[in-house]
Amino acid sequence: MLQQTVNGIALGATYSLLGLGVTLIWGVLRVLNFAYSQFIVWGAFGTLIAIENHVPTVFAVLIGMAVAGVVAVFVDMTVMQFMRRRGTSEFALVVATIGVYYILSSVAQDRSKSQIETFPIGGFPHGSVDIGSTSLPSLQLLSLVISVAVMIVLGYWLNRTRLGRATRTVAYSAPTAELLGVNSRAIFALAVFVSGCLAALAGIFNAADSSTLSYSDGDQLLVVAFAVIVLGGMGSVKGAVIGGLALGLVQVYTTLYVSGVFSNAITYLLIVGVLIVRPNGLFGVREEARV
Amino acid sequence: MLVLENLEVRYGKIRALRGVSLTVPDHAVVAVLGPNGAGKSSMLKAISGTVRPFAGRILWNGTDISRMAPHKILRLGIAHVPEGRAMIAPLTVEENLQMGAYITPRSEIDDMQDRMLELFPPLKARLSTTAGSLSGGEQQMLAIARGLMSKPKLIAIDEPSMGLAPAVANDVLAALAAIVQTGTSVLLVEQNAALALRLAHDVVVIGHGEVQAAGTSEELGHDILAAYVE
Amino acid sequence: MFDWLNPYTQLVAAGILVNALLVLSLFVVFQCGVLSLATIGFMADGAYTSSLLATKQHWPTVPAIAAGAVVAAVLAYIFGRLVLHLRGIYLALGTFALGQVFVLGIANFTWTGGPGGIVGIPVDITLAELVFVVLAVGVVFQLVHLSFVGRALRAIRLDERVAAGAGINVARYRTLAFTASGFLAGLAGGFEAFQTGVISPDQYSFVLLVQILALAMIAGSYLWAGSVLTAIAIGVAQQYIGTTDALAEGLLYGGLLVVVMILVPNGITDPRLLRRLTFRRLRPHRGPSSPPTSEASPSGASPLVIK
Repeated sequence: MLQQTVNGIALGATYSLLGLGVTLIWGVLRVLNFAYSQFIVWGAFGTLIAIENHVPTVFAVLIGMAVAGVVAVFVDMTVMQFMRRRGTSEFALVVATIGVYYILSSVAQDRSKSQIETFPIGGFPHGSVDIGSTSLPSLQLLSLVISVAVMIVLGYWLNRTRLGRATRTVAYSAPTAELLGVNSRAIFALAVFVSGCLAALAGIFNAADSSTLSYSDGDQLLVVAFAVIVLGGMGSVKGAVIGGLALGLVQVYTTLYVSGVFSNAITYLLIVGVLIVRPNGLFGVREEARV
Repeated sequence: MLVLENLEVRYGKIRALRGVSLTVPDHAVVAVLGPNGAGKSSMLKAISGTVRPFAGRILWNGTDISRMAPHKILRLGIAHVPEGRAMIAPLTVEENLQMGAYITPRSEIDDMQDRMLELFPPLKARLSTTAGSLSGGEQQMLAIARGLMSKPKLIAIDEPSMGLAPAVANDVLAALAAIVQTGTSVLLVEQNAALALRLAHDVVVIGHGEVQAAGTSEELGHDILAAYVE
Repeated sequence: MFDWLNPYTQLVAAGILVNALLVLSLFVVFQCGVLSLATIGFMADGAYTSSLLATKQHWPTVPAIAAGAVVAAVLAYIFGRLVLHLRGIYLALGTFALGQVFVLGIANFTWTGGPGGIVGIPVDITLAELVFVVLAVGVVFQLVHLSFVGRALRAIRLDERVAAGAGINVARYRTLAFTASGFLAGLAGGFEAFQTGVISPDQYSFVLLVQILALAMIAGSYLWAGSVLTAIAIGVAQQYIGTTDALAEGLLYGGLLVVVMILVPNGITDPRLLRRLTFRRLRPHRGPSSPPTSEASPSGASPLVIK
């Protein structure tokens, strides 16, 4: 039981990273981005290719994050920027991200010839650490440490720094931010880049955990990310972390007490259920009515 | 010096401004009067870069700023306090002021904030309140203070008296008078002519997107102003 | 009726018509401003209900397909009432998850055949029958379009609050549209199952949703005939281009989706777009030359300087 809880928290740590990335894009750009699923995949592929070319693992991870960040910014600066300028509806924006998702996904599928690839994990921490009567794989401990660190840094950045305040101002109203001297496009690009990096990080941990990588890995993780932000409240940094941990625990307990095959279905059920009961998330703040 | 040359603003087929020309000299207060929908706000939006002019030019000390992004125009020294005050509601009053000082050198921010709180004393007690929960008058004060935090050479203010009780409007006006003393130019858009004329010597009357009359308040006389404005 | 077509062509044509039904299923909800991503889930419901009835209970084909559509409609009604109070992104997310719950549920129960799916479904739907059904659905759409129901649905899309103010029961119409959407998706699922004889959960994929969504967004949600014609046109075009590999298909549909959202976010049947196209033809062409007022305006020629 205790061991399962530890496993759940470890699983939830990666989920939190996913949620943080989506919540950042949602909070700043008000876009539900289906292409996020492919930022996860492209980031992991970037790392995979770098490792295959004998780049030390730490740098390979950074390269993967940069790849996803750049792809994310590229998509935002081309498709999204253009649509925002024309004042396209939220509806059309979501659909456009689905189109981008499909393009990126088919390119990744083509690159890997529709096969599942082996993800080299030699450079990642292995073995496990004993904590009391439980043991935790080092890799998951690392992802837990990183997601907590990311949460703290993001929280500090958004609330305590000049750039973070500017980001929150852009999130609230880009035209007002512009009037105060903030280059809103640069802020959008920054938020999207960071979000892409987080997606890649989650994708890399996921691949390292299973030591495989497939072009469709992102689909499942995207749903996880959506579930996390629905649970934690969209746009909330703290909520994303709590939501991620909660989802990790729920999945582990479901596998333990019900059946392993339902741990995915439960994710979707949670999304529907929470949206019906508490549309602003279990920990979210009520969004002001935007008329 | 700010010069508008034949400025034209359109929203789709609607022509909000139909070729407006005017000049705001340095160290001056110019009041722009006119009824609702005359194009006053569109003019300010064009100056600050929020809307792109359809035709015409906006020159600021000789530089054409008519196609610049708002954040660049602010850096050149023109601040715009928009209609409706544009509070960043979830941020506190202090954070709003800090945002106003986004382009101000760090060393001057504290000093500027102290001066703003002196100018608008009611804000002092509200520093850690979120901007969204301020009263209308306090929001207007914060909006102007926030605009001044960037130390602009010209501040364009849209309808500062709108929705305010006369006593509060007077306080805001008094603060504006103090700003003028520091050498900042003010472009004041108002519907309340009487209020605007207490501050501004030069007046431009806009109606139907065009300049209807311009001159000093004595030249124009109260009759003309009243006829245009009311 | 279509015997002159070779069997392969008939199969392709049937596939295109099934897509047309799915596009109509999206049309019906988009029409009143609901971004539903649950269609593929309802398709799976319809396909599995009808297939299980036919293979396990030995129901004849037509009642089985009808039952599948009805079950999908009932599920849509029940869950529609729960999720339709959501707005915007939340609604998209809720319906997306809802659709996936159905597919995952089907994949994880043993009595549905699990991940392996169902085989041995009687293949006895003719192309002629499918054509008839699509035409019949079209007639119903046209009747609804002309009736007060169609007007109410369009009013809701235009402005929900105004529609509610005009006495339209917005919630009821949205539920109605969602139920109809479920029915059509269920119907499409049933027909597809009885066309191919084999179904499995993984065919109700996100990729299929994206393809149908692309067709629906290109067609726009103003004219039902536009949806059907778009599905047919792109289906036929795809046969001629011969896009069989995943990359080409991804670039085609993904690219179309992005381009359409950028250029004509309301689809090609957007009345404003159609009006503009016809107006262009009637009016003398005016190029994007510099505006005439900038230089020639006599009143504002001399800059008005104060002081």
